[in-house]
Amino acid sequence: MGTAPSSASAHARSDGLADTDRPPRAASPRRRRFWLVVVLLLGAGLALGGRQILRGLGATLVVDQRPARIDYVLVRGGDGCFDVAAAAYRQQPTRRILLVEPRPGRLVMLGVLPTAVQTARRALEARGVPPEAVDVIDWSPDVPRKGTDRLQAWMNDHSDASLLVLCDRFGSRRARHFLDAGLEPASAARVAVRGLADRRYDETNWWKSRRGAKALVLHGVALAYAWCRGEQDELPETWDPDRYERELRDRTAEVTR
Amino acid sequence: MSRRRRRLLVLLALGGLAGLLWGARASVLPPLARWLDVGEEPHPADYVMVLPGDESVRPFVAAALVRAGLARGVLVPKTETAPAVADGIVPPTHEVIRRVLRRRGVPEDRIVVLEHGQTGHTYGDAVLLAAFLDSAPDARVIVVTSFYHTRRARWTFSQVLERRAEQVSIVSAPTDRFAPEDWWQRQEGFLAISGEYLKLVYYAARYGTLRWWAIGCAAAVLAGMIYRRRRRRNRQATGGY
Repeated sequence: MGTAPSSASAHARSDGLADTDRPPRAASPRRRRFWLVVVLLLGAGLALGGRQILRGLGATLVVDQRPARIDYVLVRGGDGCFDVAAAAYRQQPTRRILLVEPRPGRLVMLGVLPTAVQTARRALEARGVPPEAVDVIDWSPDVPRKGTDRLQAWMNDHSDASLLVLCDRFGSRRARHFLDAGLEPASAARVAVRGLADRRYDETNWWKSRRGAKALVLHGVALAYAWCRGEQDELPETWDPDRYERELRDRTAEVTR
Repeated sequence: MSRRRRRLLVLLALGGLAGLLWGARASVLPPLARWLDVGEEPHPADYVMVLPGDESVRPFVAAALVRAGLARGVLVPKTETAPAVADGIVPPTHEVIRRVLRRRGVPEDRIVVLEHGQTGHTYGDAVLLAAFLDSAPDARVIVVTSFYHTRRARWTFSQVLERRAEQVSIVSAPTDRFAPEDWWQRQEGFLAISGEYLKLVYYAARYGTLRWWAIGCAAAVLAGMIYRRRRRRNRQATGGY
């Protein structure tokens, strides 16, 4: 089926000018009106709904699931995570708190900081959670290095346990992504994620503080990276401070010689 | 050439460029990280200042500088109180730095916590150092920070300290888990380098002249567009092509 030539192209042929000789097209009044309306609508949208847009932007990073049944509360972080875990325990003392021991870092090995599990146990005990209500997935160099792999192994041993993961609010969408991508579907369905808001900002006001804006941007970048590359192994810290110091001393001695 | 065809060509060129960059990422991306590193070879100074962040490396470098005889004391900026610190769950960052320094053999009397205020960003660190230099005007200071942070640190310290910035040198600390050669392959590296570029732009706009440059460029582009449109109209009116 043929199409009728547009008036512009018909004009181009009838005036006998080649494409390159044609005068530059001026914006038609119709097109100009269209862009004016678009700009006005955008301006009005930003003026009236700017707050909603910013709030929506923050909400894209947030997952806040409230399951009916919780057997275990897995504490992964977030402002006030130990308060929330302790409150969940007090509400139903048959619930248990679950901790995942990360790979111990240099500061822990040096004795500068206690291990993450020691810190969590102490904080939970101070909030009225007895030590026997706390389970730990221990770190071991022999077990899989990805957090979700270790969690999957634990879930295989606890086949009907339902879990609530507490984590940072702007990091909760990423946590959900890792769980959905790393766990078996049946296991992922037994896990809910609750993002805990920082007391200084959340998705309703992040743009008012420098810290909130920084958190949103960095968590947004981290989420995009997670979508592209998935969860990564926990690698050891490989830099050697003793070697650095030796080399520095050698360099300094050479310079002063 | 029609406008549609021109747009298609531009899109194709952009797509080709993106593909080319992705294909050559192993040679294109490392220079992006290396450009951020303006660290200098350490020279003897009076103090070494540890910038908060990456406490599992930076304080170790500072301690090494002191033990190698390149500095007499260590300056540690007092950091803002994070929620977990306020709740008594973890110690504040300056306390962690102090503990590392002690463990690595720096005597307690050589550690100075800068308490004129609390800092949560590089600009605040520079302000704290400026206040310290008011009381020790001749002191020379080595600032230790992660390699990717050195460019912004140097720029910020020179903005705040102005003429006194000559007394300050910046030394790069390495990073665990990623290096300039492979930063995009690890999440930590990707966040550090891409985040650093975003922060550089923010700092240039917030504390530098970038916003005035941006306003100037926008005005120039607008003026150019108006001029072009007027010229086109005049040509159409006179019929001269």
